[in-house]
Amino acid sequence: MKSRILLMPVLLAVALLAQAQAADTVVLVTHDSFAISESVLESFETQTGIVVEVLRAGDAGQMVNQAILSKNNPLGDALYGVDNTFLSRALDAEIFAPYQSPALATVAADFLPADDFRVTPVDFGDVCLNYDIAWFAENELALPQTLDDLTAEAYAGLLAVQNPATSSPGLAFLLATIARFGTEDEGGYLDYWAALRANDVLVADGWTDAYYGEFTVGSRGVGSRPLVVSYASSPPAEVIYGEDPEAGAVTGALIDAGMCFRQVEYVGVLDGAANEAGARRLIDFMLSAEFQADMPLNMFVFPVLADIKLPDEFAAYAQIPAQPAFVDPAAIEANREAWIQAWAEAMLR
Amino acid sequence: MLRLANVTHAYGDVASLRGVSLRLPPGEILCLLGPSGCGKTTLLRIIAGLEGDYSGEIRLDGADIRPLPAHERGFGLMFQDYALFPHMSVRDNIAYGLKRRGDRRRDIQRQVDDLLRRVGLAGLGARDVAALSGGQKQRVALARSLAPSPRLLMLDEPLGSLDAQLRDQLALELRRLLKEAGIGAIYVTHDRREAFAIADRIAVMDAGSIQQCDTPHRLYNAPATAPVARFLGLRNLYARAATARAAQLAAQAKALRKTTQTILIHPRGISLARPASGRSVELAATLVAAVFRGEHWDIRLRLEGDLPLVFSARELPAQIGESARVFVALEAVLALDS
Amino acid sequence: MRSWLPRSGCALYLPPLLFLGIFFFYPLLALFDISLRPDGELDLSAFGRLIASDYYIDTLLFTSYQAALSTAFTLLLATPCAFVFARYRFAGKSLLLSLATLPFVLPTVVVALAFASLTGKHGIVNDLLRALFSLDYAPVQLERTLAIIIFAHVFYNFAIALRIMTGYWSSVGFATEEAARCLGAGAWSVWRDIRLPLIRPALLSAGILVFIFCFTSFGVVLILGGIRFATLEVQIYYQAVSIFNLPLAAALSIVQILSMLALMTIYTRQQRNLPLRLASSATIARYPRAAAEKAAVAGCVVLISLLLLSPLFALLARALLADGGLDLSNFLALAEKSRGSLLFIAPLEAMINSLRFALLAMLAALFLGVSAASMIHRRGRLARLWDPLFMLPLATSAVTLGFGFIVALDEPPLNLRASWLIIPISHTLVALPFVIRSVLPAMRAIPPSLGEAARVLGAKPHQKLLSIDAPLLGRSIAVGATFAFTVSMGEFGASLFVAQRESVTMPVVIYRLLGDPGLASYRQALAMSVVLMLVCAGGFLLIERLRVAGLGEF
Repeated sequence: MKSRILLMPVLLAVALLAQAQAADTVVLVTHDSFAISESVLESFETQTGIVVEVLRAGDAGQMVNQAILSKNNPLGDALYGVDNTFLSRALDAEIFAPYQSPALATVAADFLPADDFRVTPVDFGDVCLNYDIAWFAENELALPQTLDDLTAEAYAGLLAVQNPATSSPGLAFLLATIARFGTEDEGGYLDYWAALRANDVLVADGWTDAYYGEFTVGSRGVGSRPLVVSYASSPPAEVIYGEDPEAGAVTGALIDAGMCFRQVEYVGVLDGAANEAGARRLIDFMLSAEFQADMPLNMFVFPVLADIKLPDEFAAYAQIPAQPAFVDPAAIEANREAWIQAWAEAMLR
Repeated sequence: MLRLANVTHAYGDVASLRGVSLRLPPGEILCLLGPSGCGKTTLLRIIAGLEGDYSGEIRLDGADIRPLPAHERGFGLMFQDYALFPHMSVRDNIAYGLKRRGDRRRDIQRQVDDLLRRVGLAGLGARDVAALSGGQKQRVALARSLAPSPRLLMLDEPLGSLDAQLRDQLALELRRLLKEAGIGAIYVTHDRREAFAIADRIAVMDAGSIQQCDTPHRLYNAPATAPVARFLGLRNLYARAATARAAQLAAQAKALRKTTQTILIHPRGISLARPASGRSVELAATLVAAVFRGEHWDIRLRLEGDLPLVFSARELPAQIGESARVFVALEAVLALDS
Repeated sequence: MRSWLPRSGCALYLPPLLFLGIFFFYPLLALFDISLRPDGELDLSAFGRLIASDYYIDTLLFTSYQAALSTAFTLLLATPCAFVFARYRFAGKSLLLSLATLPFVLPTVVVALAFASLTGKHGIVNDLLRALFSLDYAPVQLERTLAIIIFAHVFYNFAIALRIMTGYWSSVGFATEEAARCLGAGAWSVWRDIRLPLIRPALLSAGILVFIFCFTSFGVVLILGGIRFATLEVQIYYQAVSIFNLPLAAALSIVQILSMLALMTIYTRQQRNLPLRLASSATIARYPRAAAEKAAVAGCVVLISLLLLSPLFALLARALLADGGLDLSNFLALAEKSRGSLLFIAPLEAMINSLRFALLAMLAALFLGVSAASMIHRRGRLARLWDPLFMLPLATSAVTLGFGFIVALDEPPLNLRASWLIIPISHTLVALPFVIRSVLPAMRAIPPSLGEAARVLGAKPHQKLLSIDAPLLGRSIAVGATFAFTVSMGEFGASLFVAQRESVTMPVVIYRLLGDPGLASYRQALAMSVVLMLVCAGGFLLIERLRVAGLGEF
């Protein structure tokens, strides 16, 4: 009896050691939303002989935090999914080893972060307002063209947004308003939000609540808001997953200058990775046409390579804003808590 | 005067009371005596108002009390395990009924002190009830049920969990207290010694009905049925047919009512010497066993036809296994309904 | 022979202590260490920030306030029902109790779904009202109110309070209240003077436990209440994940853990002092007879149906009905394999994962829980100090523990960070208190003379354990096992934290399906929730079958 009990830790340890990786495996740390076709990863494995093991570590914030906490003994070899709102946190913590992929040559210069190639852009998505096409037609109301328009009487009670403290698109939209109005006491983003509040803006906690609960289209008529903060890729998603894919677009995205905030997702080699070479090859592969073309329908994001042929629904219904709002990632990391806190004071108290 | 007429009650499909009728004159102590499961506790709970779903009548001084809930009947009930309130002191337990009646604080104080004295617990008012001995708990429970001067007190095996010696002593005290208070009481027990000690009248119950109701003395000397006799501790009960095996006994039995099926030889009429007065018959027997009890011997004889006869006597009639003579007074040979 | 006895005892007690030490205290302390000593110097300024800021004091006050309010409502509703459950027999009683216990083990996502199905804008209540009064808006708007938080907390914790009080009430019995009635106490006096004072210990136990659960509640507050109602637990998550302010998160965690430890100490002490009588509730409970009694039973059934069952039925209806007819396609879709996407986990696969982890966690929690309980029961004062410590995982936020695992368990032989083992281990941590709480009262109720008799007859300690204790504890062990199993089935926080393909569980899939676009995924999430609900309901019916009346704190 006694010896059996003492055996337990030993057995446990053996079981754990058996978990140790096979030689040619690359571990990709990523967030919960990561998805890609099985055939695409298989293709990488046949091309390189490297097996990809995917480790999902919560949402983007949790993932970055876990990577930082484990930087002396990294969780994996490459980390994908850190976006420009969390980039600075990851870079400051020095979790990445520089790598300049040859494939970067084909990526538009806008996407490259101003640093020494510690991360590589893979995809992007724009957070912008979606509108109910039928509603605006019926009510014969013009679409808002700027953020300022939203405080006009005509748009009172039409908009649903998300809480930036709990929602990633909510934060992105807050950043768009900060990019437009600045953070000065007079006439800054807080004054703008106060005007939105006066214009009866509705604050939901997450994207699901706002889109499926409040948006006239997403909620099938129960919600009362024909304008909602969502993604530029939501209109094609609404067509693909909608009740009648043949009917065409029911929603549209407002992509005028300064109304959208672009989230770019990056991949990087984790500093101290066991399989650094494998991680580099994986990054090269993520910038290949095969991988890039597979992303839109799996994650509803746009590839960073400009010449990738988009799926038909994307080509037909998705628009890419020409001039998204821009906020320096370092400023985001430095001020995130203060901005959100001030926003919460202004909007929720 | 409490009157019950034809009270009937069932637990599911099992009848627990079958047409019980009863009268209790003011100030009388009535014992319900019977084996466990005979329905006596159920009857008590029905009178107290704790059981619904029965049929029959219950009247107090002519008034129908069936619609009254338990707390408006003004009856006292002392529970088998006392059901003292464990979160209250002795004093608060006793005072509870007085508080509910709306007595003034000072009156309550006085009455509780008086009751504590009467039950012999003076000075123990502040005690926690958990710290009391069995006998003390019993007194608190009694004082509590007496405190609001109930119109009728019911006691459910109140001495059941005490040892024999304490039981005898408390039974006497209980009777004294009840008589002092002048309260009519219904006292449930399965112990005939206790019933004899306390009751003015005893109602023997069996299988949900009252078999016989009479004073302890008459009940003991003239039980009406075999179950009553058995429950009162009377032995020497014989089936009428079996008495044929003992010629002399058969002759006596023939003279008794023909409708009865059981013959009882009451111990009061059994003796080793021929009685000086009254008619008696001598029976031949063999001494089978004898147990020395100090004041007497418990003797077991075998009569003719293998009939056993049990009684007690001051001395042994013979050696074990030898033949003995025994006399039975004819007035002590009784015929019972079975 | 004699000297061998105590040593063998210690060997038996070692695994639970090691387990708690390695998988709870070590990661927790490691995280606190790097949070509060980032540069090798102890920096307690975060505590200073806590005290200096009205915001965090307000958070602490609000956390206590909502927990107190939730506890008060739970007790207010559960107490009369506990009386009815203890006093009366009625058809369907144990089924009702099983169903009422269901919410307790359901993951928050499912509960949020259930509430949305009932009172949400699309919910059944609003649909009905809209149809009845031809409205074009949703008349019931409970989303993101304090009311819905309280409602959800009552929904979650009602059964725990009900079970604790029913068990205690059955053991106290009803003779004293009959005595009071004979002394002239009416219905109100009986409640005030007798019933409530008598069940005060159970009220206190249930109250403390419910308060602990509500104080540390995370998902309910976040999903149903929103960030405006930030509790300490939500604030810890926010500071640790969104802001990555580890010193502040650690300080908040320490405040939470210490205050909960204090409550758990009171709770376990209270439990030790409860008188244990093995009265069988079956003999005390009787069929209701008077009209008022029947009304009480009916009222209790209606209350439980409205409060606890209606959200569950709303979920069921939403999953099964579509366009006015029965629609099983959502359930059939669960069996589908891959959608061709690498990390899409077929729901069936997740079910198998869930069952696998639940079995593992159950076995581990049983082994560790029984030995921990016997240590607490037999080994004097020092061992009793462990009792509240084993409950601490219930009061520790998943994110704190998750980060702790990453910091601490990163070296062989305990490199668990990326292993699926982390899931059954964290489930075991949460299930352990339930096993201990089920088994400990039964152990305390076994008279020591039985063991002594066995020892005198020559049984060695482990033989005594197998031949005397195990059979007598059998049923309460089975109850603990079922709780461990269902708690693991519903556990969500840790499962979400490290999720490889082989470790995705049912609650995680529900969570992901909810995040996926399209109505079809939403319906599949509903269907998956129903399956999870049915598995847990099955577990609880099993508990009812095995339950020793009046034993086990839940």
